[in-house]
Amino acid sequence: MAKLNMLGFQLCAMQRERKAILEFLQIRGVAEIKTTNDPYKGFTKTDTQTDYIYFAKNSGRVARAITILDKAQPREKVGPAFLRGRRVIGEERIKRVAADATDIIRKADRALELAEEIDKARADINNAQTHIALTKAWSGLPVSERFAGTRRTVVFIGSLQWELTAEAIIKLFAENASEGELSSDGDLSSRVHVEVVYAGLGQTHFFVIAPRKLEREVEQRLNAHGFSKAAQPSYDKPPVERVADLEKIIQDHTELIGSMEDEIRSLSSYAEQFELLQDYYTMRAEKYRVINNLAQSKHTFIIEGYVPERDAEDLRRGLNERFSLSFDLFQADADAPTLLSNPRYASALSGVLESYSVPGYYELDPLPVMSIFYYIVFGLMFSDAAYGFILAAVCGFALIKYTNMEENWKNNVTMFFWCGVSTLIWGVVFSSYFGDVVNVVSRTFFGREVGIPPLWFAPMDNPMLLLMFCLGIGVLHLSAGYIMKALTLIKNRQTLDAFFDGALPLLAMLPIILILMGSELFGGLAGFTIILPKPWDSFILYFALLMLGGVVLTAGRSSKNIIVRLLLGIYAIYNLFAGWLSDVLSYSRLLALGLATGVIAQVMNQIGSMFGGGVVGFILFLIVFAIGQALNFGINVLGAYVHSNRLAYVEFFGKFYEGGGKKFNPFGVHTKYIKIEEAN
Amino acid sequence: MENMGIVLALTGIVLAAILPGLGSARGVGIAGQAAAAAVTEDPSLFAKVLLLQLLPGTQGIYGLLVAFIGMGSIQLFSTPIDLTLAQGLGFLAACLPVAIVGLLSAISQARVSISSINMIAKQPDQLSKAMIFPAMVETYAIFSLLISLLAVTNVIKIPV
Repeated sequence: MAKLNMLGFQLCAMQRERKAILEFLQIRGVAEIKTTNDPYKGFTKTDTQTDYIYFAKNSGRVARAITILDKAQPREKVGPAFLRGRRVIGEERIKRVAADATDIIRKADRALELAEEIDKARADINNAQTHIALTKAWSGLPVSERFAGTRRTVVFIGSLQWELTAEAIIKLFAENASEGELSSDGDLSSRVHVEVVYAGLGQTHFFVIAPRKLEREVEQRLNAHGFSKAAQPSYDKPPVERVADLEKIIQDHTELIGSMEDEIRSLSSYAEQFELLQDYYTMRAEKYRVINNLAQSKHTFIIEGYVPERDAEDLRRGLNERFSLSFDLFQADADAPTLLSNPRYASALSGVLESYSVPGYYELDPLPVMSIFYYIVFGLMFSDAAYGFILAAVCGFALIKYTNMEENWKNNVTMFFWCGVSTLIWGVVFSSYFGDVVNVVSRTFFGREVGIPPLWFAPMDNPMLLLMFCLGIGVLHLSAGYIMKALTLIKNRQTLDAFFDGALPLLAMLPIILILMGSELFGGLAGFTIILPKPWDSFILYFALLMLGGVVLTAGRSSKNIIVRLLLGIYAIYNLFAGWLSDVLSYSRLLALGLATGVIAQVMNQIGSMFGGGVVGFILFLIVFAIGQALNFGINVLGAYVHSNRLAYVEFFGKFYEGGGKKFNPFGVHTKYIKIEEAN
Repeated sequence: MENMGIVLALTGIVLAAILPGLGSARGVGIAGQAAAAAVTEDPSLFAKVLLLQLLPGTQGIYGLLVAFIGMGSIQLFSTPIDLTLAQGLGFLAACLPVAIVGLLSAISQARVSISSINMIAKQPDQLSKAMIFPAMVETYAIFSLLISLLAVTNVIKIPV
């Protein structure tokens, strides 16, 4: 059976061997550990939250250091991480890393420190650059902005709005202003000296020298025109020298950054060790989270959990060889987690199944049946031999090249490989190779149209026949659903229910469909009818009626009242017909999406061939062909995937499957870079 | 008036191209806004939300498909078939399922897509569930495509 039998286990051992036992279990990775909510008498739970946080934090620190190193010196990697998979290393290697942990994390901290210093230095450089931009405008000033004058003279350094010349500023002092106290002093223009330092961007920087005794008057006149004093620098040096100072700072910092970056690069040889260390910390963190759940006494501790029967004996032997402990196995309860084991073609769909729900304790593993139909309907919807070949080839290549791929990616890639194979087959059956590229190319560029004849028929020649074929696939899919329902019930020793709820409806509907296929309505749509030979037709009719009668009598058997029971039965008949009608019609999407793929591809070819023959025409054709087919491929692979899921989830699962199980999640090594091989 | 048949047929073809196209443009547009918002928060979601943004885009393609098949079946590119008024009207009617359902379903689907994009922003590993919800709406666009496709290819068989 495809769903593995789960055993519960209880392990009781001495505290002094706790670390070793947990590490053994973690590296084996075959047992899920249950949270002990209510420890036994004399046992308590230890809070290891602090240890957990300590290791999780360290793991994060090293992870940041790895990012820094990779940024400073990118490493050469073959393909993306999910295809490469994790490295396999021996147990003693991780022990070495654990022993060197303090040294290695010191290096990681150094990398973090350097990165922080570099950020600081960069901020300083930015700051200096802003200051330089502001100070440059004053670079014509021979003294510091703080300079206020000598004993006999006073100096005003500052700015006025608008771009002005020295003469224009002097004129401001000549004005014989009529109002207030200014007027009394009259024309000051001959007694002040003005020099413009900078004029531009709507303002003028300048300085004014005047006799000290005129300080007040000059200041008043300047203020009257909106004079603003220059910002005071923090030390007494002329702007030019300050700019030089700042430039020196920038240069120094740049050099510093360079040397620090060199140092980071010199650390990059540690990148691999950092990865090991990060994973080591992750493992430690996971271990402490488990310890948190254990029942412990002063000298002993208890671990409870689940292990698949497949691995149980091995685990018991392994534990008994290494430690002195008691290890009990027993049949697990209904809370047990679910672990499925299937051939590759079926387990490839684990991702699709898990995103619906894992089978519950009382359910069958739907994958073997589900996957076959999944590939069939995917192929019918994608339905182009060339597309199928590309999809299968790319996925097949990835599977061969990246043998160490992570499990979930391996599943997805395998799934699309088989989807591609199915697509290739259906494409050959209905003759679609990039749509009709063979016909178009031979017609446009070689003057004589050739085509590859379909194995069966061309869909556009007889779409109704293909529609009937698709609905037929639907009938098979739904029947498989009913059979699965019956099998599930039989497995749970509900044989009568299996007959009433699984077999009866199916045995009623299939003959009715057979009878309908003889009707004129069907003939008008499909172009053919199936007329049953003489004695059989009435036999099948009576058989169907008998089964329907059975449904009426049994569907409402949960109710004790005979009237209610019959009403429920009649309602079940209505549901049966309405349900089958809508479910079967739902498979018409196979035809619609299949036609869409082929016809859009044809349209692309047609557009490409509009430029005519010849070399130029051929090049233009290639461009349109490549872009158009790539687009069509993308859109339709998406559509086929989504609608294959839908047909599985709604139409197929609707008949028998609820899910609601919990996925088996063993205590193990859930790391990013490495897998650990058990030492012998 | 004797050309009325072909005019009606072309009207249908044009409607099949316009309406679902409009619907998809609007659908992909509003879903794109939600997608951009999700990527602002977490740029690594780009590929996932792009898929969800694209889902309401298929109606436009279905409309285009019917328009192309329609043009082919009245041989617009070589010598257009003489259609009677009845055939023309029938042709127009044949285009309406994909035109109307395409327009409206694209917008409804976009709303679901937006919700799914928000879902991905919070639960990035639930992509296949998030894709199923918009696909449920798409079912009806596919049905209308099917009917329009079959009707358009067969309507010229209406007896004159």
